Amino acid sequence: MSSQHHLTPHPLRNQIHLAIKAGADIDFNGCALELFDHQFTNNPIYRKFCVSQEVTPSKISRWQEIPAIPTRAFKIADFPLSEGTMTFLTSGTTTEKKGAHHFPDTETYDLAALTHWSTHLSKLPLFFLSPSPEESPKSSLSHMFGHLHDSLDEKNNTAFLLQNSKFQLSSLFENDRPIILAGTALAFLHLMESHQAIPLPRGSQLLETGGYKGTSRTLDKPDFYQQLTSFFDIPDSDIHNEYGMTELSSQAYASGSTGSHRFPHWCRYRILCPETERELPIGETGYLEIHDLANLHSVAAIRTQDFATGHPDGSFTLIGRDPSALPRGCSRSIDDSLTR
Amino acid sequence: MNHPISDLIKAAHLFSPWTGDFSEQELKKWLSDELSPPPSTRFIAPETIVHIISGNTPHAAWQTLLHGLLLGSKNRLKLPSDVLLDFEKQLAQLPSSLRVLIETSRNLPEHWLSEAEALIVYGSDSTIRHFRELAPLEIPFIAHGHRLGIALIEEPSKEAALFAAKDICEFDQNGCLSLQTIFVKDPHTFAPLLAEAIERESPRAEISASEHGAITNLRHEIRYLAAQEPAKYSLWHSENSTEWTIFLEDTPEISPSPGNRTVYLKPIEQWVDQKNQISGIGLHPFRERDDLPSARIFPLGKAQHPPFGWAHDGVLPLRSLVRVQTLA
Repeated sequence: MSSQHHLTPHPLRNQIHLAIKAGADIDFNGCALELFDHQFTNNPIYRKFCVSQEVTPSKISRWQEIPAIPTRAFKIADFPLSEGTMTFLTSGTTTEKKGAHHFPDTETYDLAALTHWSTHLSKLPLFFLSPSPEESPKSSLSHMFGHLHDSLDEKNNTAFLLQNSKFQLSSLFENDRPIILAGTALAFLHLMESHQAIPLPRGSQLLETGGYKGTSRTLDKPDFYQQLTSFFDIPDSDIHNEYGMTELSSQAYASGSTGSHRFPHWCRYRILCPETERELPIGETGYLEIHDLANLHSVAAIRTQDFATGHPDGSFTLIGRDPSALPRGCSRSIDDSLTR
Repeated sequence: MNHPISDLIKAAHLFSPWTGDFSEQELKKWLSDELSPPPSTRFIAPETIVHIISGNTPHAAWQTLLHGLLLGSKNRLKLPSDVLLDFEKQLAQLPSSLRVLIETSRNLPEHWLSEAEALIVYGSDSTIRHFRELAPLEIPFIAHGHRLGIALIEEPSKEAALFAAKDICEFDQNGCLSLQTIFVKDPHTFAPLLAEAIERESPRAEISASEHGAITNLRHEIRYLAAQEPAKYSLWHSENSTEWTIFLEDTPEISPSPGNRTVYLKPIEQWVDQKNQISGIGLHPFRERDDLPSARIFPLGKAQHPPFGWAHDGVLPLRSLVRVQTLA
C-alpha cells in the first residue's frame, strides 16, 4: 500500500495552496481534473470505484464528471489509507462506527480553514464553546478552532471555554471588548439552558455549527437565532453558521437566520435529484455534492446526505438532512411526536 | 366482563381491512380460546387501556382497539401527530355504544398514564423504554417494538419470486410485517426473477423527495461497496426511478431497508436466527419447522395477512391484558 506522502507530491500540493491563496480567479476545472488524475492514480480504493462507474481521467473534461464518494466510505474501512499522522473522526454514538479521515499533515486543511474564515469573519478576539484540540484531538472542529486561535489570537490563553464537558466562563465574563464566540449549536443550547443571559460587548459575533446531531432535539433555525439574539444581545445578522464535515477540508459560511451558505473559491457544489441522481438546475432542491480541492489527501468529490437549493450567485440554502429520510417503520412517528 | 360482540359485528366493515374478516362465532371462539378461566378463577378486564400508536399504516390502531373493545374496556388512543389523519373520522362511524368506549388524542394528556389499567405501546426501543419507565408498576405493559419481516427461500423459482414480490409491494413495506430481507439459495439467479415479479405489481404509491433520497443514497453506497468487493455486493434497480431496488449483500446482518420496495437479498447459507429483530419469517416452500423460534412463521406471500386474532410478537392479545382473580 502506498504511503500517504506518496499521495501528495509537492507540485500539486503547491498548486492547490496557490489556488487557495489566489482569490476567486483560479482555473477550478483544470485544478480539479489534475487532482482527480492524481487521486485516481494513487488511491486504489477510489480508483476501483471510478472504474466501476466507467470514469477514468482520460474520459472526462469537466469537474462535474468526477465521481463523488459517499460519506459512508469514510466509515467502511480506513480511508483513504491509515498511514496519516493526523486522524479526525466523525461524531456518533459510542456503539456506532465512526468515519475516519486521515491526513499526513494538516497544512492544506489549516490554510483552507484560516483563509475562508478570514474572508467571512471579522478579526476579533476568539472564544470557543468547545474543548481544546489537546482535550479532543480527533475532532476536526476543535482542530480548526485551535488553528484559528494560534493564528489569530494566540495571546488569549483562556479561549476554550468547555473543559471536561463543563463551561469555564470566567474569562468571557472578564472580557469587555467585542469578540467572536464560536461553538456547536448544542453547546450554545446547553449554555442558554444552564446560565443567565450573557450580553456580549457591542460589535461581537457568534458562530454556531454542527446542528443537534446525535440528540433528539429539534429547533427551527429562526427560533434558535431568536434565542441567541436575546441571550447574547447580538443582532441576527451577526450570527454566523459554519457548514462543515469531517469528510471535507473546507467549510461554508452563512450569516443571519435566513442567510444562504457560501463555499470558498476552491470549492464547487452540485445539486442532485434525489430520484434520478442527475444534476438539477439552479433553484431546485436536492442532495448536495461538494468538490473540495483542499481534500488533497483523500477524495475531492464528496456526496452528502444533506438537502440544499442552489442560487445563481453560487451560494446555496442548506435544508439539511430530512428526518423522514430515515427508514420508515412502526417506530418513526412516535419518536417524532416525543420530541415535539 | 361485558363483551360488546353484537356492536362489533355491526362495525366489522370498519375493522376488517386492518384486522381481517370476523364473524360473531369467530369472536366468541376467540374469547373462549383465550379467556376460559382455570377452575376457581375468573378474569378481570382492565377498566381503561391506554394505547400508544405509531406506524404508517392503520393496522396497529385498529387491531389494538378491537382487542380493547372486545374486553369491554375504555380505550384511550394516543395517535401519531402526522399520520393516520383520517382515523378519527372513521371512528365517528362506529355505533355510539362503542364510541363511548373510545377517546383519542394527538398529545398524551397527563392523567392518561396514571389512570391506565393496561398500557400498550407500539414504537422504537427508546419509545418503549420511555413508556416502560412512566407506566404504573402494577399494570400490564405490552410492547410491540420495531421489527422486520424476512423470508427463507429454499427453492427459488418464478412462483417464489411472485410471492416475495407480493410481500414486498403490499403497503410498500410500511408495516412491521413487511418483507425487508430475503435469504435465498442462489441469490444471483433469484434477483432477476424477483425484479421481474416486482415490475408486474401495481405501481408504488407516491413518495417524498427524502424517501427517494434514502433509496438513491443507499444505492450509491452499495455501488461503492460493490466496486471494492464485487463478489460480496450487487445491485439491481429500476431505470431512472426508485420504483424498486434489490441489494445483494453476502453478509448475515439484518438491517431495515429504506422501504418503498427496497429489499436485501442474502445467500441462505448466511441465515442466522435473530429472533429479537424479526416480526415473522415467510417460508418457501412452507413447512412446519421447530428450529425457528420467531413469533410467526407463514407461507411466503402472506406476510401482511396474519390470521384473525393472531399473537403479535408472540403475545396473546386478550389474555395478556386481563388479571386473574382466584376464587378460593
